[in-house]
Amino acid sequence: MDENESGNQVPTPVENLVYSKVMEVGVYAGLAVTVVGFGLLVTGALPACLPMDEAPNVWHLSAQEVSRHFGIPTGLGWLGKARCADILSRVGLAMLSSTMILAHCFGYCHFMKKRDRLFANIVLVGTLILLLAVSGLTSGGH
Amino acid sequence: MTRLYTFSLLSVVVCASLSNELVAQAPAAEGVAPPAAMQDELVTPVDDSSSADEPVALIVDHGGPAADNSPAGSDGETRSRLPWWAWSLILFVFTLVLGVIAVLGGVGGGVLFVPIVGTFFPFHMDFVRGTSLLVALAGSLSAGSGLLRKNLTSVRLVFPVAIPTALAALAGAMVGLAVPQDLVRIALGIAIMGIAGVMLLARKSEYPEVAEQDRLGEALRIAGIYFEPSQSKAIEWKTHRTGVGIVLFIGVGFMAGMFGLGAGWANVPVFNLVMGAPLKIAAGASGLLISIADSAAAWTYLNKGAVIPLITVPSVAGMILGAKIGGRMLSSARPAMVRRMVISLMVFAGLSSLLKGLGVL
Repeated sequence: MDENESGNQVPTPVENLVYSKVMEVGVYAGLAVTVVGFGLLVTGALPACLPMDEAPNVWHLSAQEVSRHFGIPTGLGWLGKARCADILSRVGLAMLSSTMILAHCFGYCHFMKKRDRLFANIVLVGTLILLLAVSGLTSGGH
Repeated sequence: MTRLYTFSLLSVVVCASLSNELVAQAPAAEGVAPPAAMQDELVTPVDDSSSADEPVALIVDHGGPAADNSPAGSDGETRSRLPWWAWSLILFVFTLVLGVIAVLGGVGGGVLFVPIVGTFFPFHMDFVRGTSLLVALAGSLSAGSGLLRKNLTSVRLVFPVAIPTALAALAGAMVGLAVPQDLVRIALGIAIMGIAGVMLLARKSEYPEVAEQDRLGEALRIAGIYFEPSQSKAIEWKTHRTGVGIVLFIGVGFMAGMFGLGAGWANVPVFNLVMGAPLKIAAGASGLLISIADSAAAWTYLNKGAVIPLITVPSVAGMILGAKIGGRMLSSARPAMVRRMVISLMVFAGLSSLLKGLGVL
């Protein structure tokens, strides 16, 4: 345990610090890529898979309908279109959504090192659930 | 201060009503008409990588709804008259005000964002819910790091309950994306009014009494200690009723995934009143739980294409900025009054969503 940053006598568990560091990095990285992608989108520096001027004509349609209109694959396939500015911005949001997976990887190593197998397994199951979501199997992707 | 809150709340209502005026009702069509630039060419996927997606069945009926470039969705939804940048700007201002109100009212924002934007803005519910989840996720991840360092949340408390919650959120997201949006709006309206009722009736306990820890909680060693500056002493805590908590979190997770809510409104009472965690720990644990459960649901929406940056990025930016402004106003706020106003707004938002789902609005 380390000393709490507020200087009181209650130490902060090391696992808290492990997760804290990874979450901090994950949020900054995710938001940075999102903002860069959005900047490239609105300035027109990169082309968009869903052209901005067309967006108001289609955003009342369902996600599936919009994806089909513009040939954007569902499932994990959309990541292959990251050369489009709007998809690049979406990659940043995906990084944000993956922060806890990365944190869990570090957390798993920490709990294994502490020989806390029960909690390591809980973290492992949590990671597998998040990876199931990432896989696209729950989105009915193509 | 009262005037400021009233002004903020009125801004939300006016902004929402204005948005509603700026969209035109498009009649329902049997098929999906393409946007203007695509009407000359039969729409085919841009990339072969999506070959499994057959071109959507388009009806380009020049005498019908498509003729005036007013594509109607499968739900016969609305289209907007304004350019994209105007909507992004309106959304930014709206979420900025909402962020202030949410922090002062002690809610996450999703309980207001989803029903109001889903009812009064021209976006399909898929994009509204996807955006709301990412707004909640960005907020909870940003705050989570500091809370963990300050020992105001506990991985030992959150991770065991996060497994069923994340699974339920995944299931909720799958169901939410599969059912017609009007049905989602009706269910959401009822849920939001129910949540308003829960918020009105639920009491909080600063330091709940936990006489004896349950066996599951003991086996998982769900306990901790944190420093309470107001009392200048360390507070030790432990929990009970872990099983009941897990069952309740399954329901909460499902609703979070289905409606795109952060679900702090339910997480805090379950951690605090049911499992017996101190209020500060319960609030911190709620944020960490949202970081995990909403990640699972958010990926489902991302992979389904339910995230458009022109909608999501201004919303995330507005909400984060609004929350920071709201945080600075907290010291001079009167929480009880703001909370009552937020609950009133939730009833309005829930009722609007219900009426829109029923086709009355």
